[in-house]
Amino acid sequence: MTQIYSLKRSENAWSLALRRLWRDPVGRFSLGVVMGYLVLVGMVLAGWLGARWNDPVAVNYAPPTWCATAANRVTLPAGEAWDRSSVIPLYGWTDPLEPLWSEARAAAQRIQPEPVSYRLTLFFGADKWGRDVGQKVLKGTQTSVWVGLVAAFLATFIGTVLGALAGYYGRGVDDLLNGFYGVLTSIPYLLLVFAVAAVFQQKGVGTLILILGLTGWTGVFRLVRAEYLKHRTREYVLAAGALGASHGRRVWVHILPNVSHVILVQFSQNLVGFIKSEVILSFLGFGVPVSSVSWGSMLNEAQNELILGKWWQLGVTTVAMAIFVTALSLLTDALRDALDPRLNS
Amino acid sequence: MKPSPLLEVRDLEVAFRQAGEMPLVAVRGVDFTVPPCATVALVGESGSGKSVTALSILRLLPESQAHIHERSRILWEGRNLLEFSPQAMRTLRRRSLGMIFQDPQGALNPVFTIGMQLGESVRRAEGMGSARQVRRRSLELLAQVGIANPETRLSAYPHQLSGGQQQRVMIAMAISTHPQLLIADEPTTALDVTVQRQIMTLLRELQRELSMAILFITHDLALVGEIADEVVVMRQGRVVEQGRCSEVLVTPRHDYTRALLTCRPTLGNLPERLPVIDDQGNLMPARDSSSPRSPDPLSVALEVEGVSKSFVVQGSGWRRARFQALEPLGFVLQTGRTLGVVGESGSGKSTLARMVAGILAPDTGRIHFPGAEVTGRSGRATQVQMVFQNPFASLNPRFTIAQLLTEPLMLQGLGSHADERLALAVRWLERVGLNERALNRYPHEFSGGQRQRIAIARCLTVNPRVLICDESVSALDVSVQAQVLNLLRDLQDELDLSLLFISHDLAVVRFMADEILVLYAGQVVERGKAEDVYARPRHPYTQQLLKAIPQGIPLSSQGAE
Repeated sequence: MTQIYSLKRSENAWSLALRRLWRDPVGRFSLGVVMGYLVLVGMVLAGWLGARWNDPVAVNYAPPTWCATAANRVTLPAGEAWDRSSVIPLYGWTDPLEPLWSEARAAAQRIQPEPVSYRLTLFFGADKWGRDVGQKVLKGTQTSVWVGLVAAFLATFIGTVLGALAGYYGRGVDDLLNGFYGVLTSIPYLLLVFAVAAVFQQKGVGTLILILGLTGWTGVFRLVRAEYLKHRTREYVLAAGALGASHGRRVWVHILPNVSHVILVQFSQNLVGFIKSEVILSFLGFGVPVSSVSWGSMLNEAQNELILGKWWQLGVTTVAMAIFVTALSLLTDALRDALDPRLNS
Repeated sequence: MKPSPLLEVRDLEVAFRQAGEMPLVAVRGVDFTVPPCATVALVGESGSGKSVTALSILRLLPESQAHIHERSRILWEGRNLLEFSPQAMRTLRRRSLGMIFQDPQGALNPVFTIGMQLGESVRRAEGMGSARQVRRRSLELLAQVGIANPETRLSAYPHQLSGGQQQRVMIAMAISTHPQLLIADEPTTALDVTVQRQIMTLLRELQRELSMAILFITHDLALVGEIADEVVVMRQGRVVEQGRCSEVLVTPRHDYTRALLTCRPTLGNLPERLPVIDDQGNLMPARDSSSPRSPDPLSVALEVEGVSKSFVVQGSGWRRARFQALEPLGFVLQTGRTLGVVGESGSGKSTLARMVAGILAPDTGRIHFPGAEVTGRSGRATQVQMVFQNPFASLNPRFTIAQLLTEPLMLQGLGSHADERLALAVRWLERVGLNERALNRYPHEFSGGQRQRIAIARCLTVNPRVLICDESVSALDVSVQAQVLNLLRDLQDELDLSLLFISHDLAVVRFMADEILVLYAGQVVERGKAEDVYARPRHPYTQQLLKAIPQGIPLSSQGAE
């Protein structure tokens, strides 16, 4: 006869850690900021915010203002270009394309384009093409955070899998993976990134993620390997082995939850690092293509603008990035404190 | 006429602050005195507050966390230590107090030589400047604590010394200051029993020579009888009994003291079951076992033939040296019987256990379970299981008790579905004295004894024929140890389990085992029926081991129990 037992678990290590994180004012604050950014990224991805970042809405280099008046617009007449193009002297020749031109002119006449009105100032200012810096920084935040997140996932995944295998199995597997790790870390970082970029031969968010993910797993690997080395001879793992648990089960079911705090902290450290790397790469021209915008590409544009005294794109981007990266770093520190099993009492 | 006391502790109360929780009162209202040149023993189990008491005398508790109550007083020759300035306290520690700790390896700095560390404390104690003077005094101290070749030892690093020698160095450092009071916090707990005997003898001699008082902190009442004049028994931060050693140990008034004396098996006292202490500290008499062991026709559960093991250690240069952990040995374990394996650290007893459990592969020989086809790791699991020493390490902290107990069932394909496995798990939990409320909790919510019982239940879920207990009760307090030993005996009778019981504690092995195997440096030096080996040890090593067991309690008092 079997009896059903309720499976409501009592508090485990994770919820304890979360509670500790919440008790820490710095942890609570930084968690709030990071969550706010992630919500923002989600809204941009859904198309609710920043979708019109590529539209010229103001005159070029419209300065930022905090009090826009009603007279804050300039209207440029529409259709001007068509009229002017028709008065090219042809010196007696007939334009062979004249039938097509007249057809096109007739079509244009039917459309009756509205005159375009541009803003003279914007809250965050505008760039060289008259695009709203506020919209751009929203879209840029989404690109940069997204690249960082996905690349950090990729790097953490590769590092964890390889580190677990090297640390648990040791011997030949360890030698092989350690050698690979040694070669990879002996190459200067930027050189390695350029080499991978050269292999991929195309710009894009996907390429950027692959570059960062494939080069950035080494830190995770080193730490996870050390943890597995330590844990594989722990008594609970030996006991599981004696009970008939396979190697795979010991690696992934028994040890992994016990080293997950290390992995999580590494993940958030990588996230900070990758966001900064993305900025550097985009700044150096290896980053996102012109069809997209990120913090790095905005800073790249800003260096030319700054010579002209147009400081606002630089200012807005720097502030947005600094807040996020600082909050993330603080959160990483707080997480490490909260998850440290030595503090468990 | 009583001499005025050297140290007087009056109404000591220490509380620890905890973030977001009520302060934890570790010591409440402790009173005792230490007369000059006397030995006072503080005895108690883990959590009794004995170490906290010692640290508050030295004022070494972290002040940010520990709070000593205002009305508490610690009088050193009549003056209150708690009101000393840090400067005055340092002087007192340097001139009049010495301390030795449980773990000498942790207390010595691994990157400095013995000479440098000893020289530093000599220089501070005597204010001596010249290197030659310091060296001469260091050599004198090392000779005094019985270290052979003190000249060569001065330039040795801590890891080059054995545990006993390290503890001797620690004692040399402590007495370099000519202390009036030596505080010894479990100084022999981490040491083998023969080494423990040497250190105890040394402490006694030094006390006579240097006429100092000793505050001896231990969990082992038998050891107390060897050294102490007075004894203070502590439990949960309170003093339950104190008095002259001879009185307290022979005619204990308090139940708890009596329990500490009787819960631990001794060589002269071998009941079927041990008495235990309940949660209130009351002594529960031993339950009579209904049926004596049945002398049924014996079948063999485990056969070990010519098994040996060596490990690769770092040799010099490129060469790799091999260390023979276990010379070829063999034995037979009969169904329902217990084979005790005795040996000190490094004797190869854990290597043997791990090979039988299938965690290590033997270099040579064969481990055979007659009457069963054992193929692979999974097959072996149903034949033999192992209970580890440290219940804090052998249960996965991220698993609930339900997961811990149903996992082996799942791995072995026992029970057809999850609910059935859970029901089986509950049955085993109840069998080891817990109930289903434990299912959804995590190991850290249980005490050491409960965890060890969960570990035993986990091993038994797969119905093994042989259970290996590798120092399974060594990390437990005396009272909890008795519960687990009783449980193992009950289970053995009920399930016809064969036990391979490994321990450094000869009295515990004597209580459990039918036959004994004595290991020394990887070799079997003696084997035979337990009563024969203990009554007439033939090998000198066995004789030495048996002599080293603390016999502090007069045998007459054991007879009275």
